[in-house]
Amino acid sequence: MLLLDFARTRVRLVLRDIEHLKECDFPFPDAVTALQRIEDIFREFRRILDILTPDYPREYIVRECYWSLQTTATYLPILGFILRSTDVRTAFETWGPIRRLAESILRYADPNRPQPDKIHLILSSEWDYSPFVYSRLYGHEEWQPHCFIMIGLPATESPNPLLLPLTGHELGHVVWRCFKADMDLLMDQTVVQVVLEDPGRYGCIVDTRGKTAEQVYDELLHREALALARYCTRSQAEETYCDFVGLRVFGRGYLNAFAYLLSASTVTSDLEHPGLPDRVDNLVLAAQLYQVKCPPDYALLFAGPEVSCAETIEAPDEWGFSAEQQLQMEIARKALQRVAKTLAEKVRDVINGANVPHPSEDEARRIHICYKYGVPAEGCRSLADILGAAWLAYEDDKLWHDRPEVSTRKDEVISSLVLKNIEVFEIEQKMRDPE
Amino acid sequence: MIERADAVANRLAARLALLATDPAVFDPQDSQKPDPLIVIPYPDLKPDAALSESGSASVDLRLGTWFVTLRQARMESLGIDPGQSERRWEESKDETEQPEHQPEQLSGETQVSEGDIRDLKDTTESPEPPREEPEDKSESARRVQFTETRYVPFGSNYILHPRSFVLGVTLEWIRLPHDLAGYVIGKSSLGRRGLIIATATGVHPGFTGCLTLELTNVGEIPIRIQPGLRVCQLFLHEVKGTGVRRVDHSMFACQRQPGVGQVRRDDMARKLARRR
Repeated sequence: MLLLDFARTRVRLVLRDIEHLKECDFPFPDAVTALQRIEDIFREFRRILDILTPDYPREYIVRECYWSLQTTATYLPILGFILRSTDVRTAFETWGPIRRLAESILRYADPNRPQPDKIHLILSSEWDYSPFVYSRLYGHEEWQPHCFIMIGLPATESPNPLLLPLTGHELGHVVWRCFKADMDLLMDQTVVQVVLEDPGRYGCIVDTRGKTAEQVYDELLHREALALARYCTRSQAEETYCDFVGLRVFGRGYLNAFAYLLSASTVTSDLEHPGLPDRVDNLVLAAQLYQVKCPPDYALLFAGPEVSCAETIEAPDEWGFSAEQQLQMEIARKALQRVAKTLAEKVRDVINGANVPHPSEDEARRIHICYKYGVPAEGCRSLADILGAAWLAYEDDKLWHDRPEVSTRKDEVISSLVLKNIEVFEIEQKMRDPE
Repeated sequence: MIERADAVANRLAARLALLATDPAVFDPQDSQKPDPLIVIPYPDLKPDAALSESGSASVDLRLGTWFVTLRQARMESLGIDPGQSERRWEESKDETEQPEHQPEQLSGETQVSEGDIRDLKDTTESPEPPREEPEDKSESARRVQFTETRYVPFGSNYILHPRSFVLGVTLEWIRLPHDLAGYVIGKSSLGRRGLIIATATGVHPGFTGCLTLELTNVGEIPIRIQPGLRVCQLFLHEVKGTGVRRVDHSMFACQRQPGVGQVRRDDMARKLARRR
């Protein structure tokens, strides 16, 4: 049967490429471990496909072929991502400190408490101007008890330490998985509250007349009447939560990195992300809670050509969403606004519980003094303080003004200095580790 | 005058106090302002151990995590004549006017200057004369042009095969004050096993950054080296002169990876190379 031949060939070629990839020069063994796990998945596919003969029921064969194709499509970008982790533009010096940070947060947040040697971090890059994490893999049953965190910065920014605070956001996705069930419940309940409070506006979606909150909630779950609102609220709450993780861990450095990536953006909103003005408002709100000093006129940095419009959810309309679907997205936006402070408090509790130090502006200033001398700092408390100092150096117009041979390539020197500082920080940590 | 270990240790110990001073008021011309000697990470975890163990007048430095090798498969040859790129351009014009003045070729070898490293494919297929390398080409662009970079994390090995050459870098980031210069040399214990720090690198006053090391295995068997290895030693010498600070304009300043550098334009060499 040709269908079966196609599937077998596809799986065989994936396995061949994995075999080749395993021979690449990966700086850290985590990439090879990930490849081995992916290889296990495809070997199982090959075993099943090899058993099948044309005598089997056609539906059964089609289903197995379908799954092999779906899985190939899922894992191919991940294989590409793993391959790009060999690119020497990647800031490899950050691997140790980010892994330690992830380990300390997960050890507190994850009920399964993955062993340190089961936490794997792969730093790479993507030819897409958006940092990302393959968080789906975290909950993948085949991967347990291993926990894989795959973080990629945009390819052009992969050696730029100024963007490293964004890894806090990406780590947030992994933390979110630990609380996903509770969070989803919270979001669903909030959506119901929003609908119940304005039956006149939302009655066309769910008839709330004469019903209790429990009955509406039940209808919401079973009839999927608010499926889009629930999806948007959950996804956008996750993104907001991750913004808060980045902010709590990296402080002002996160605000700066966020602005660096998205300032003057034309992106308004999509289903998974809140509108940019809402994200900025939430960051300012959480900054007050975390006592992080917000840069002056922070919101103005995001005034792109389309953001000046008061209505933030306008793109979906352009995509041709129905009036009812737009109402559902409005519900999601309102629900998110309602829980933003709660999310910020939850993040604070988790990160404080994991004993991640608050970023210190005094410490960042101390490190910045070392940078003025053109040297890394010793005895740093956290990665956040180093990156905070990196941003102070970036903003310092007079830095190295007496050394034109250095100041003319300021960005390159800041990058080199900060990454060396991160390596020194890791060396000091290693020296403190027990034998 | 060479700096003895105790004097170096005292200078290093003073760095913390100096680094607590905001150098916003730092004036490179003012000898009263702080101008510390800094080696980070500190040469050894036990205070001054590296200084005392290495004898009396040098600081042991360790191997860093970045390595750079030349792209042998891609390059035909590497010219280091600073005037060559321009000379080839002039001669290619001369060829049409006065073919008798064609330059000599060494046994069919095409000489290519560092400013004109090109693929074999390019040199055979492209009839166009090479462009002169812009003076301001960045160090990272030069490195990508004709070298391969490799990151070796702590705990991993780099195998240096016999007669092979690799650029390494010190783990330590160094800042020399205006009144100190240095020389980097290999360690005899490693040299006896075939590992040579190819040159005695001079380090000028005011240098800041990691030192690039040229590592060669002149022995008969491969050598396994690891980041963190004590690989060389830095002798520091007191500098006497006008007291002007920041005399180093090294192109390697403030780098954490091995630098390839640039063979600077040399008008005298270019004129000497003229045929008429």
